Amino acid sequence: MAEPDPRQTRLPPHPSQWTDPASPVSFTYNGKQVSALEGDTIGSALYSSGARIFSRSFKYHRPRGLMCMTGDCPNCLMSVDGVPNVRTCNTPVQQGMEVRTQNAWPSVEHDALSVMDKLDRLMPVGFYYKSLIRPRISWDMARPIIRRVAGLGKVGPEKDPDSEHQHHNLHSDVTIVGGGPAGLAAALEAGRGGSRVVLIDEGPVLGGHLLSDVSVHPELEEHAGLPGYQVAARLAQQVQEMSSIRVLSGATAFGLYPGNLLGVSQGKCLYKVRSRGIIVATGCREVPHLFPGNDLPGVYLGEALRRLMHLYGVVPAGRALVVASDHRGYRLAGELAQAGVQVVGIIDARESSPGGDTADSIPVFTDSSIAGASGLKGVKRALVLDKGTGETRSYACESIVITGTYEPNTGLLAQTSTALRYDPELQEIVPEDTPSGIYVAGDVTGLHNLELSLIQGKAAGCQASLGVDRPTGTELDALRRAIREKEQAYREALEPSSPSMAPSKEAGKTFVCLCEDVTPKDLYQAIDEGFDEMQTLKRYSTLSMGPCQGKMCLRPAIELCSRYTGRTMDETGSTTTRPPLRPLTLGTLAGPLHMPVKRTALHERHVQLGAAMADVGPWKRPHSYGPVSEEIAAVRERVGIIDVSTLGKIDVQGADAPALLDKVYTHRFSNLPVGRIRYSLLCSDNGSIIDDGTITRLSERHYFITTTTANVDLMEEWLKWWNAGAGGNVHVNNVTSGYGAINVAGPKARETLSKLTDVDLSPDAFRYMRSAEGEVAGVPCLFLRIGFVGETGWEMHFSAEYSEHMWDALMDAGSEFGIVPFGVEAQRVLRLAKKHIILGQDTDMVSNPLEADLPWVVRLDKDDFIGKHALEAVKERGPRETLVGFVMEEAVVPEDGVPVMHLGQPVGRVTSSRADPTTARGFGLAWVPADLSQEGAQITIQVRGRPSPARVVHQPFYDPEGARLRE
Amino acid sequence: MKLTPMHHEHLSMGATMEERSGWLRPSVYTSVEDEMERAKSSVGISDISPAGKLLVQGAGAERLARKFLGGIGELQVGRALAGSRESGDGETFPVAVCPLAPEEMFVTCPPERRNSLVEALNAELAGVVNDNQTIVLDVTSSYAGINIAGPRSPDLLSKLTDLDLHPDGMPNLSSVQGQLAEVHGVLVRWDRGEEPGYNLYVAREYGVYVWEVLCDAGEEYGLAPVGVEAHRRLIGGAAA
Repeated sequence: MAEPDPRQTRLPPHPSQWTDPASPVSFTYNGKQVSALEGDTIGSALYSSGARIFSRSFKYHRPRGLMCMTGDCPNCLMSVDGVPNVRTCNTPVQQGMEVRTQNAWPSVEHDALSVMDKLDRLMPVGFYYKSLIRPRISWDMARPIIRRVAGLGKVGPEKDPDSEHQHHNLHSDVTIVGGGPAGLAAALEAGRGGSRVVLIDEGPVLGGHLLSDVSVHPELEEHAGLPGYQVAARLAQQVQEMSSIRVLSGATAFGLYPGNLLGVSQGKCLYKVRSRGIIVATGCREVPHLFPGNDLPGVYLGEALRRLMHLYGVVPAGRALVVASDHRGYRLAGELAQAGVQVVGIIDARESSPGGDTADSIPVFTDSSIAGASGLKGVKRALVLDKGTGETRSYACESIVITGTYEPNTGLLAQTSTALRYDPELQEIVPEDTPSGIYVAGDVTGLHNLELSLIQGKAAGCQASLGVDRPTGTELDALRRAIREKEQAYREALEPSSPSMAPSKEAGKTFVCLCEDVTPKDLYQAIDEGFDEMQTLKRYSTLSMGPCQGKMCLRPAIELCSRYTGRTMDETGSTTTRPPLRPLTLGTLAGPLHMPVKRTALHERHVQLGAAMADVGPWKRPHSYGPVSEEIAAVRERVGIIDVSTLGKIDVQGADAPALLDKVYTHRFSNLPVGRIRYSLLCSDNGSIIDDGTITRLSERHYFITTTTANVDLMEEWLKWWNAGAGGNVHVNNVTSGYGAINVAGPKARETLSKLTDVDLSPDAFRYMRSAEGEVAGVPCLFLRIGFVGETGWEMHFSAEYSEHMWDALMDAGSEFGIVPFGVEAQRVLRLAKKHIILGQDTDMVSNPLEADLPWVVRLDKDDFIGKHALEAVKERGPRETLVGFVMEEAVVPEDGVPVMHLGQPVGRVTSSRADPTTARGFGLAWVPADLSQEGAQITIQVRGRPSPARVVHQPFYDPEGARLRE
Repeated sequence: MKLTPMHHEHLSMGATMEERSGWLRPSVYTSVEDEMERAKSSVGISDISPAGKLLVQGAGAERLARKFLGGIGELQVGRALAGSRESGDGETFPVAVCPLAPEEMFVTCPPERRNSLVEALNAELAGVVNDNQTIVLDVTSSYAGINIAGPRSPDLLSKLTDLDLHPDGMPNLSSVQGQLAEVHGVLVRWDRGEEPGYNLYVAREYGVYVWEVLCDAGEEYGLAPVGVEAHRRLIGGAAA
């Protein structure tokens, strides 16, 4: 590639241009230095430096070049600074950027893989559905080749180096999508009365298609005599001056979700915009025509050349042929000629030329259409069909410019319940009825008239603000009348143009879908095979499933399908449009990750002590501080402390509190003496266990409940629900966050605590399952004498802000007895030795208390409680399976969850299992069939794939009488 | 000594700690002037967890709140009302009431008034309301409290919540419950003169997480942690 000074290939400076000849910048393209100007996009800079092939196609590796310059087609995707699939045509160039082409080897200019283009017969539409099936190895062999050959850019395995994605929430009265003339007019009207307005625009500068419009618009009274780009600048200026309007430039509204929520991406930011009203002024785009060779570099959509010329001062070298069907094509031909391009001719499908807009020197071929383009790596010749005589003539040219076929950008509307219908007069698919709160204005309505767009915008702005800052719609009525009149005039002035030619089945390579290399031939074949609905046609042919998401192909495909099947456009329908409208990076959607973490007030203490922290749901808990066996030994022989602040804690008070607890728990609480604690379960109506915990009666009508850590929110709701249902006078408050809790356990727990408190802890004064209130180290505490870990111990609850103080005081007081902090793992082993179950670990959604070996918790003799009937039924039928203790007969430890076997079949499962420190044999809890549940029954447990004998044990493994607990 | 949920965050940010009414609090991180300057020009966050927080709950909640507020304003859900109360020693101190639900008043007061206010309200409950259907719950320890104030505070919060923070949606002296950084919170708007300001209350165990999220999200605005000293000057002497 030659490397000319970019300034020499440019047009003379013009006020419409964005490029600044005084500010050169440079970047690398496939490792080579390229010069550009400030204001260029990567695409315009590469184009001006002579590059014509920008990419290779997905399947056939055909050369592709700049085509739309609006970010709609897939032809200019490149890797920029390591980010793949960047649309270079509208990405501003920056000094030092590293740009690389994709999916070609060794280069896009000379791509060895273009041999694929010759192999198309081997790869008909949907070939991967019906070939490479047998022998089975054939797909395994073909897959790596297909993956190598097909595809887009590559994502590196390393982390995004500067993944500083941000999410923002915005709220507005009116949000306008599209900063073209209609959008600007809408914003000015909506913002004038003080409504909060957000204006979202894709370009770096407001103005939309007016920015590349250098013609004057005498029809606009307000802006008479001004060229389009100056009208845009004027309107944009007014918008910038209006403080109620917030402009998001360079931002893409990629999705419109229920509740008028717009997803908008802007660089590394994702905005979630919620509005009362949304005005869709997204304009329209040009769509390609179908003719053999229509994908060659050198075939452009008109807007691409308008932008190249008027925004970046670049023109295509060589000769150009313009395909036109209205005055806009003629005007563009004139502009090209003025810029020094030799225009070979204008092809007009109409029978006579209106003349007028263009220079006389350009020949016009009326009643003609483009029939083909040829050339190896770019257009060399164009074939023109004279429809009158049926003759085809060939012209030498380097550019073919397609104008005249527009498609409204209805992508956002299609995500709502808006009706989209084909308007035969306009020959476009246009929005008919929008849901309330969504308005349309401008070219998206299928009416392409600047004056009309401005009035439509104003009307939409006015309507969206109704009820916010203006009381009545009289103004709106006048605007609507004007719109009706202008629309009628517009429709009357439409000149009938014969639709673009549908290529015959035999024509050479014509491309409908540029992203996935789908040809009309493919579509016809798919339709013949029965995929004659757009939805199935899309899935079978992969049409519209590439990066452009149907922007270039959907409209031509619907037209082809409609003709081939003989149905109308509306009958043919369309595919479902889903967000995102333009590809997004996953990082944009993920944003800054917010993973809520719950930390107890003792978190830092655990970290300082070197604890290995474990995730227990959202909580961080110390797994262990050192060897677990030492922690266990300390609790059994001396004294240990554990942070149990994560326990769910619920304060229940009120006159009807006893009745509520009797109703929801399986045990009785109305008869629980004040100062006593009782363990109980809650069941659902079907008798399965929901939660367990201790209930302490603080006073006649005041209870303190602990729940499992994970279930506290559910328990709070459960209690409130049943209280509300009963109309009871009970206050249920989740006080988990407010209390720190520490369990002190072990033979020396009493001595340790006695150093810090006046409460009499002697065995007779403070018995097992009793509670008391008192101070520890000066801090008011609730003492609960319970024994989850099987030793004498107290669970103390206190205001959380004292947690570190309490911890330090206890560690200090216990140091003479060899106090040790213990973690969750030691607690798990200690409780297992006592056969204390952990809900969710040893039980599941269908476990009931009778089969879980907790019959003593269930009081079937009390009045109705939730689950009573179901449990009575269980009692009557007898247990089917039972949760029992087991001890291995050998020195092996089964893993949690392994099956219990009987006669070679799995009949149960191990729920918890740990090694006995002295014998190294496994012990734990398992569900077994009722007939294997008696004491001493021999069972077989699958340990690492090998059956191993075990024995059923009913008593707790440690201190079966509970003597140590009660000491 | 009482520690706030974010105690170790303050230490790791290099705060000088001081004791105030039993709580260990960050008095200053960088300098009082710098913290005030950044809070005034951008956004500052302060740990206000020590503030007394009570829940008055039940049929008589509104009556009780109205009585000690001295009849100021309508106790509509979604509002935040500022009042004052006379203590036993004849001094007055500020209280704020946010009706979270028709029978649930969230009351805040200066840290040193927490216990006396609980006692006084319980006495009034027995004496005035006496319906056996209303309770006063001290929830000071349940919440981490963070004051977020300064011109960029709405921008900062809008990165973390989809609540509409515009004055149209959330004017001064209003309160709302919602999700912030995926965590449930109570947000109360207390403007500081012309500058927007918010008190945010989240469950204590989320305190560190939310503080860190705020610091991260506020980095682009130049967020400043504001110590007790600067905070006191910014709010014009009134206690948090």
